[in-house]
Amino acid sequence: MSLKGKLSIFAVALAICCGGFLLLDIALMNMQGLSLIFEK
Amino acid sequence: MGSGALKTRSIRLFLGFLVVLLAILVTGAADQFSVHAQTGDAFAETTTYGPAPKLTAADYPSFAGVNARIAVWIFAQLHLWFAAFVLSVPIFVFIIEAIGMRTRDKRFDDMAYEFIKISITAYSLTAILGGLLLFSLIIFYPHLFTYLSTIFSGSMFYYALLFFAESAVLYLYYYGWHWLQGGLRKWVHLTLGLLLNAVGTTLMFLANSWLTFMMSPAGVNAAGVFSGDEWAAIHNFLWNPINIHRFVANIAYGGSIVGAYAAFKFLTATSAREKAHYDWMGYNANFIAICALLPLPFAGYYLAAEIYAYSQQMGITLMGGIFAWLFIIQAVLIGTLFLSANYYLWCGMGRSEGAKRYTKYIKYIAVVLVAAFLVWFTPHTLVLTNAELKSLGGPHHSILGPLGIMPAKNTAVNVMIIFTFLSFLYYRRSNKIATVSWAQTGNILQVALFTAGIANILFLGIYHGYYTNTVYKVAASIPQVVTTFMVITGSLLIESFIYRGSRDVGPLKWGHIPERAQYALFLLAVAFTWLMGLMGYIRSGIRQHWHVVDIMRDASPDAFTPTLGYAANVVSIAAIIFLAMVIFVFWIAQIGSTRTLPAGYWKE
Amino acid sequence: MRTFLSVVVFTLMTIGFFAGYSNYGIPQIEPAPPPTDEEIDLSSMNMEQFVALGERIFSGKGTCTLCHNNLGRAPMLDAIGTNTQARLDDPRYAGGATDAESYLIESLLEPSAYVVAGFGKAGTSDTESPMPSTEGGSIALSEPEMTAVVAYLQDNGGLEITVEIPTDVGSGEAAEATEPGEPRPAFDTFKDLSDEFACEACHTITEEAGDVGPNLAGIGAARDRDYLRRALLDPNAEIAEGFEEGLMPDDLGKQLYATELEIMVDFLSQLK
Repeated sequence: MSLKGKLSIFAVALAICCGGFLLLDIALMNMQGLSLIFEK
Repeated sequence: MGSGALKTRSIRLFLGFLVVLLAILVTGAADQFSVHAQTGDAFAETTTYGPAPKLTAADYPSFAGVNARIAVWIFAQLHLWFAAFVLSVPIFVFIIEAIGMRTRDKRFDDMAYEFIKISITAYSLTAILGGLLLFSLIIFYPHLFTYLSTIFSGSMFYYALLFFAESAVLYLYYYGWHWLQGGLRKWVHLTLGLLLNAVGTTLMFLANSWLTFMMSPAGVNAAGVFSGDEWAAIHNFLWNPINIHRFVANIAYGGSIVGAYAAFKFLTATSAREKAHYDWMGYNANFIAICALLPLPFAGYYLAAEIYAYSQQMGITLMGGIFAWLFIIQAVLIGTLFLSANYYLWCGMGRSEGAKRYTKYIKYIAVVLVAAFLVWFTPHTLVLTNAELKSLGGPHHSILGPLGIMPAKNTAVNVMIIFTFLSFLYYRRSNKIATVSWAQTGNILQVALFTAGIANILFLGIYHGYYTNTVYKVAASIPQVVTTFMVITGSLLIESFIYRGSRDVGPLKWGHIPERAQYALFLLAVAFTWLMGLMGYIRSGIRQHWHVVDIMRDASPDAFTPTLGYAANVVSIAAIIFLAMVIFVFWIAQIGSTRTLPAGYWKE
Repeated sequence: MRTFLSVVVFTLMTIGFFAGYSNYGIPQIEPAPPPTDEEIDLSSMNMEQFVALGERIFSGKGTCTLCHNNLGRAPMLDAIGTNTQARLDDPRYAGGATDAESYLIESLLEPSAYVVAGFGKAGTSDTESPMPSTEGGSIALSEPEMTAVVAYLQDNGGLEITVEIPTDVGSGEAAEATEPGEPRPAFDTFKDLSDEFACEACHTITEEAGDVGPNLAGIGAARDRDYLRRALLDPNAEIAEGFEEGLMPDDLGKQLYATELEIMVDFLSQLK
């Protein structure tokens, strides 16, 4: 597989995983009555 | 085959039914305690409970210049070390025996038997030390013991009775090992192993309730008057957190002790076969220890969080007050544990030719582990002179200060766990060659998963560590933990698919490991022991001058909270005594199978 | 055997490292000893001394500073003056107080009556306070102690001090050791005397305590015995620089036995 091919697979997989983790973060913080981003 | 399979299935069903019955019995026994509350009126008529006694120094007997506090401390700690050992061995012996039954590989059965054999003496030592602890409590703290035994009369009685069950099952299990072989008998034997675990765990849960009651009392009013509901007293706030933490920690601990045994036998092995056997045993023990070590920080964190939830004062004294520096010592010890376990894995990679593909990554893992360890080891509050305070502009460094609080600590430990897991993945992979066509894509997926997970953990730690308030900081630990868990389970899943139908590079060269790796196993066992001693001190010491927090004051002459150095010294002495006793235990197992043939001694 | 010995040495070295690190690598903080009850005579105090007592309880027995500090676990209490009315007017306020004094007392007894935004227990939307009631459990402040703390909070927070020094302290305090008419038993240690006459309410002597009066930690090097004796019997004869007159009780001479006076002078003169 070419380097470009590998990188594109990596980029897509990374984006999906990061998105998944972000959703996880939001869900778990919401379950505790908080938002992900701190608001005073 | 048909009728045979049916017979086996119905036997398994029957055994399953027995297990369920036992489970009902055990939980039903718990119901017994709440019967007191249900028939409370009738019971209360016959028994009236008084408030917790208000003691003075004169109420504490002494004799022969024995320091009561240190005596109870050391007996309790020794008892706990042995108890942790004898509770954990049946857990992994059960699992190993089951694996042996599944794979029909006798090596597993033999190893399981060997684990039980070397630990058998430890059971009676546990009981002896428990007796010593009990006697010293009765002698030196009679009023406390009277108070506790009034409340816990039911559970203490059942606890004593359960030892009959424990002994009966243990002896059958151990002495019947070679008798109960094959077919149905093996299933019966495995069930005995399960029973042994059930009884042992119940014993631990019962004892846990007494000590957690002292920390978070329940079932009594503010003056200490018992309500009559023993189940409420047992089921106090910190009971389950301690149960979980101790259950997991015991497994890790037992693995490390057995690993030390294997390490010693490896170093003194005389044949290549023996070396190979004990190398394999050491690897399995280390594997068990790591498996339990990975979730352990979370169990500990959960315990601390529950302490905070129960009493913010106790929580803050624990982590932000006078006990805070203790957790820096803990960080050093845990760092030692992780580095040690990893080092053993790295050394073990030499057993396979295929490891050369991965050895180049080890140095990066080592760097990350050390960096994480340094973060974990950084204190929050510095002890400064006035001049230093002035130049720093406060008691905390503006950039390094946040490394001392929980978000940074959680980040560090999650990273350590993920990278330890990575070491383990490399170890596993070293002897395999993937045969699926998409192996390279699979690897890319793994890299993406790990990268995203680590980035997420870092984001949560850095953002919440530097830019949010306390409530957010604490809450952020949950997504961090779950991220680690997802990375581990996710990548294991992907691995299992990548290596479906994989080829082995070659047979693993058991025994082909440098001697220094065995010292990593010793370090694991010693560090674990010392760490347990330290944690035991914290758990008990957090009560400070209370026997039962907020209810019964400790008025003894030794009620003071000692300095860390003092506590560390007592723990060290106790650890040395324990390790000497463990050596005794292993030695006894050794001589048990040694035969001396005295020429000319016996009559012809 | 050689292996056994090297393993033993390795083990002892490892344990030695951990013990050594714990003794020498970590600051050896001496935890406070278990608390002992001390008797304080409120009738001889003025308001400034009472406020000082409140501060002592705030930093000591009350364990308030464990959370009410600049680490963000609990609201800072120095702005109580400006905050109180706003909190009483807040629709979230669930208590029954009507002014600053009753609000402060209520905060000590029922901390959840009003939880400052952001400081509530996680997941309770600021309806439950993590602060324990100071009345029960391990804090167990008595009513006079709470009054002293409120006095301190009012004084420190820029409010007018509206509480009064309690005169009837009720049971549990000042248990009479002797029959009326008989001379009381003499104290024979400085510690007992200091507790009885509340020296540390105003002075720092062996450990951080009051600062209404001069720090006596090194007084033995600075002053001679005659000076010390006179300072105890006639405190207003010579006032230390920076301190006010009329604060220290001037009737100790009528309350101390001669032996007790000498014990105090002896103790103070060896504080160097």
